[in-house]
Amino acid sequence: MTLRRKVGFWSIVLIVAVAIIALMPAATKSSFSGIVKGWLGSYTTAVQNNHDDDDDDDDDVPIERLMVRIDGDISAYAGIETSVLAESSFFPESKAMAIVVDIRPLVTIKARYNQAVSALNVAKVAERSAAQELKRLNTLAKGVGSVATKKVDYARAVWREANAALQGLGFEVQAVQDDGQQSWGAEVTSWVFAKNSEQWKRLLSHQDSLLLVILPADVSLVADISFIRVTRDGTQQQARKAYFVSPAVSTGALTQGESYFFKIATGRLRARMRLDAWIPTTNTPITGVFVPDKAIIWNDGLPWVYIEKEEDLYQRRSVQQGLPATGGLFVEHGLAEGELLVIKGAQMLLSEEFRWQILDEDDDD
Amino acid sequence: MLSHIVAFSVRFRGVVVALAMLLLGYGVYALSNSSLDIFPEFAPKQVIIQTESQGLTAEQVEVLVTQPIENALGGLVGTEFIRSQSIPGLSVVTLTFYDSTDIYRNRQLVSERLLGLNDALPTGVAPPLMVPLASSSGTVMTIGLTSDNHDLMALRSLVDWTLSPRLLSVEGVADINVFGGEEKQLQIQIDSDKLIRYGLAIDDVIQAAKQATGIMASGYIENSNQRMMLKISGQPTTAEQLSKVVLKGTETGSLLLGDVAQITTAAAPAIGGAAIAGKPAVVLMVIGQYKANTLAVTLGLEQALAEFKDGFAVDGITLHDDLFRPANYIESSLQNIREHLLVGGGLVMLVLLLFLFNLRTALISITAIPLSLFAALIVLLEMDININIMVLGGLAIALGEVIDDAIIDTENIFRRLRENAALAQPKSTMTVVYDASMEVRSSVVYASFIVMLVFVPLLTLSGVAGRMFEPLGIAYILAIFASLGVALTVTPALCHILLTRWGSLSDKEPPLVRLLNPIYGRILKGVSRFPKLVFSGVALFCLAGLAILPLLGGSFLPELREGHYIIHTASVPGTSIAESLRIGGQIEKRVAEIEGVRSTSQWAGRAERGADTYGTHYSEYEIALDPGLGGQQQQAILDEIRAVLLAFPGINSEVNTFLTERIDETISGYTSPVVVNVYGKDLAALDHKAKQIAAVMRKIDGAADVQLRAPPGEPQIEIRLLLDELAYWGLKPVEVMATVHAGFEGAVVGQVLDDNRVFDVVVTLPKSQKQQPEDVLMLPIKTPSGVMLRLKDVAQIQQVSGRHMILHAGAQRLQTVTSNVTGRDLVSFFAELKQRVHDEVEFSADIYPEFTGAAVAQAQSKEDLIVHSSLAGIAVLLLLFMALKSVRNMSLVLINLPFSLVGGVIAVLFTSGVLSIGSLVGFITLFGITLRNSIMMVSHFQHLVVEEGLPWNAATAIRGAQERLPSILITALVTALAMLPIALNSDNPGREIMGPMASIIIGGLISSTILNLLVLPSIMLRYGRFEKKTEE
Repeated sequence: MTLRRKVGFWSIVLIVAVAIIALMPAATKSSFSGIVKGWLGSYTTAVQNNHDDDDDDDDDVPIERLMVRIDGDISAYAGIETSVLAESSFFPESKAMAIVVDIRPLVTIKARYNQAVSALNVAKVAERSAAQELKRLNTLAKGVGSVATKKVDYARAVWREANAALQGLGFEVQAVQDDGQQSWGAEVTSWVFAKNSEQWKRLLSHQDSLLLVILPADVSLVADISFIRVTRDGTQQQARKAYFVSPAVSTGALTQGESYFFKIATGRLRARMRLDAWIPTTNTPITGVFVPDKAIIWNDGLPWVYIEKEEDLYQRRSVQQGLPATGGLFVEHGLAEGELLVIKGAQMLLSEEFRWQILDEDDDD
Repeated sequence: MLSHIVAFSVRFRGVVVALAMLLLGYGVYALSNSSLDIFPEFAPKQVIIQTESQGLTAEQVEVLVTQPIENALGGLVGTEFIRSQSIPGLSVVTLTFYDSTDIYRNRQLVSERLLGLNDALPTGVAPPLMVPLASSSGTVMTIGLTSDNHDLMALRSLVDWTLSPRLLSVEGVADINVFGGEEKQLQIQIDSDKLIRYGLAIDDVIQAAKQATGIMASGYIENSNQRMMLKISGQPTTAEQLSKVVLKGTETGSLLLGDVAQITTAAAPAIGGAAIAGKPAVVLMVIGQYKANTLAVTLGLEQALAEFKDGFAVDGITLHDDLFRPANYIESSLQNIREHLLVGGGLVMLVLLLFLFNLRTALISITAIPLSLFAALIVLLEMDININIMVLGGLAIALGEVIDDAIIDTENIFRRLRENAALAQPKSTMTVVYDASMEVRSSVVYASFIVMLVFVPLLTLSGVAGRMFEPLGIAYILAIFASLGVALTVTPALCHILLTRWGSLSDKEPPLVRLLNPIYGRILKGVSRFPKLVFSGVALFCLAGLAILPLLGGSFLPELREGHYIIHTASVPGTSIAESLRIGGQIEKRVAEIEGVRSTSQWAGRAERGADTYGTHYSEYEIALDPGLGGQQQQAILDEIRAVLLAFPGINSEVNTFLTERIDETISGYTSPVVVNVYGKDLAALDHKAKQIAAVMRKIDGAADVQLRAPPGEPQIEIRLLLDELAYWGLKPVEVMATVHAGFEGAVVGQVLDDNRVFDVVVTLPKSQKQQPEDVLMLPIKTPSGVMLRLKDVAQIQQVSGRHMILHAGAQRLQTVTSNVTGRDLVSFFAELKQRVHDEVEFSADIYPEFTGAAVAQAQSKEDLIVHSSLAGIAVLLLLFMALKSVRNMSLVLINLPFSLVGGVIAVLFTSGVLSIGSLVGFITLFGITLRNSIMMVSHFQHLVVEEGLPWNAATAIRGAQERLPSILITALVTALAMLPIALNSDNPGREIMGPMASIIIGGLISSTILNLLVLPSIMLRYGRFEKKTEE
């Protein structure tokens, strides 16, 4: 009887225990798996130790820092595109402001100059005439004595006056020339004051325009520069050449940088138009490779590009020393001609390199 | 009381049958008018507040936007917890309320608190918006537009001003999230160099543009006769007109806006992008309202879309209306369930005919199915529970059981009527029917209550599982309860009507029973001859079955076969929309090549008011499969998609079905088993501590995938103002900030009207000057004295790594470390982690850790479940005792539980090999059925001894078992066969959750019925005690 009661009792215990264990898994996610793992911890460890939970089958091959290894097939599959780096020459340029010069002051100067020269010429004639009269009277007075001293003295006074007037007008011409030179420099004024200056004619007929280029305050024009490039719409690609004329005498009121005159052969510019100018910062080109903007990615405060080192190996390289160029950077050192530059998919390679940083966002609350 | 009910039913049988028909009719009517959905509302009661803060970094969003909102919302009644995330350009504050609260009242409270908040937020930040109250399933349809003739801006305008308003007017639509396209703006794109040349500040342009584009009311004139409104026309509304607006007078004339800026229609800064089959597109995600009927909303949307189709076709716009249609799954699920009901019902009828060999009894029994199910449906609908897959699942697993009570009753009445017919002096039919019903009454009632009681713990599950499975449990319990009611009322009434008229009953047993009974008797004798051998064999069998249990895998839900997959990919933070779309295009191309994939689409980033609040590095893809694909084909496609994604460099990815996805998104907090939250004020200090904890965690045996949840990694350009330079030039920091804002984010200066469409007029830099870090330095700034500077003259820039996301919990800053655990149990892992963190990481007064995670939540849930299961278990034991009136017999009956468990476990092993919450439900159901069958057997033994006065010996045991054989076999077979269509085809739409339940129930029924019929009589004979009580 006792035994039977015990059987009954233990049956209840067993059944209740089994029921509780079976009912125990909670409602939340992976509750059963938790229990399974709890129960057979050692068993599952053994199983899991044999299982590589990382899906990357390249784990065995050590990869250097800044390197990403992607299977060749996958590269095409992921849309990675490369382009062969070609060596090229580059004139580093800095941007400056250019203004189409209104040449009316030059025309005024030209007019003043012409007027002064005309007056000078008249005065020269008058002086020559006065001098001749004085000479004649002197000759008469000394030869025949038929001329009153008074007349000779008068003629001398006239000549002196004419001479003084001539000198004064000579000063006037000089003053106009000096004024022109002070305002416009020797080269430009030489066009103005020269007779039949072809350059002056081109300016007057708007075949050429005179540009005042004002450099940023901390930039100087390199020596022996012959031309710069200018554009109206700010796009470097549309720029046209403007040829060096001379240093300008005055600078911009705000920028306080060096200023120069350049001339440009286009009939489309109007006076006081403001233009963008790109000034070469060296007169000898540097040699390197051009990296387009689409190849550049920023990381850790630096610009980088990926180079396909081998068929399935990409290396990240800094282009921090690159010089700003239209639509990209010109890199003198660190990248070589013939290397394969990743031009599409660089961000994806960066993402692959820093894959550990990507969170499973679904878990975010 | 029960006897009165039975007596009433037999006496007023006509009334009872009429009421039953009325119930059926009303049930059909209610069902045809009910709403249908996929899942019940499984999301917790949340109010999500999103605040668009374009141009602000995560740190700025946190301090300037999130904190004021959190402060305003603190302490709301009913709030369970408040969490927030601050990401670049967006603040998301999520308030989770207790399930017992009213969602509409919660929204009202939040709305009131938000009202006073607008002034507290910085200029340029949009007002905080409550995300529309949507159903848990969320999306009711995803559609898209592509065109070769129209650009993305035209498509987006069409969507924003024509398509979306129409779709929003469809009943049940809560919101439309629009991804991709280009939002049209009239942009005044300033030329920095020209501003410098003309000595103008960006603010000068802003002011001029504001004065040109402002819209103001003009008033009216009124005299003694008339009132006439004043209306100003001729304001500049086009790019050309705006370019003529005077900016400044100069010596030579006026400087116009067009002289310093290019005025053009251009795209607003994007927060997301979209593509269909790799082609740029506008994708619309239609969100359903809370408790909306997905099927009805879908039909309404399709009707609305049909209105546009012809016009779109003429304009060369392709409408992709089938990117995702959750209703497909509902329809195919309903079709499958309908088939199941028909096939299952047919099989049930067949079994009944075979065993009872009488059409009338079969008909009486089978009436219980529609009556019980419709009664349950009516109650569910009255309880405001929508019909969904879980409800249908509850009814489907009840299908085989609701008939059991009726079968037992009918079979007994039929047997007693046959016996009565053989008597020399038959009793009155009414008496026989009444007595026969009363004979099985107690066992039927107790058994039904036990079957219902074992389901009660399911109703107490917490979280998503609770909300998901509660309707299933309620539906099941209601159906069983209704079946009990039917067995006590309609069945006796119908028996009286149908079995006592239209010809006499044969006094012979049905042929199959006649055939089986002697065989069964012989086997039973054989088994009872070797009790020890049998018991030890059975014990071994049970132990083997239990040993298998831990080897089975686990998952929350089985793979759902929705005919659709959602892919997520994430690159490192900072990836642009263009690159995300490029990567997406490559992925779409590969996925589209997989046979069976019908369409692919992608969106990157996010949409305004969207449920997903991710950065531009994040993408989601809708992969629609060909219709009618089976589970295995869908699985094959899933495997191929996973292979494609796995091979793809630079992304982390995940593939889910839509519903799995939604459930994952709904489960609050991190789903990692181990989560350590570090709370504090200083983000850098939090990072430092979190890194230390992560380092400690990595060293602990069993830690896997240790991650810092919000690491710095978002590339940012830091503009550091040089205060000395600012002072020298007389500039204020805010002036510089305003200029940067206008230049790179854009300053909205007004609106222009184009018919009924309104577009912003924005002053900003052209796109070409917003691409490289150097562009930032070239921004023009004008000093108060009129000197023109560039930003580089007063600031330095540096590319730094900022935070993509700043998390708050309970309005406190939070950094989180998560980990999975492999190869050891969580409890010991947690203990070691706590100890080692305590020993190796120092915490100050303002930084403290919290050890939590899914494991902690699970432990709490388990504890709750154990308590509830124990209570239900005690109640079941009490009921068993009441039914059997013997502790000994009660404990012996419980032996059947391991019998059924073993069968269930073997069934799992031979099918999916994975246990899910559905499996748990299967086991619960199984235990109920098993206990019912055991009670039937044991109570009959008791009846024979107590009521009929037979001695308790082998002969009585065999007789009792033989007499119970038909009803036990019928009920087991009926239940198993009703489940069979689902179990056989479980990997198909609508059957995924019920399939594993059905397999377990069938497996368990086979083992428990065999053991119940063969072993239980022997056990009862050896250990059971039945004594005739004198007072009886």
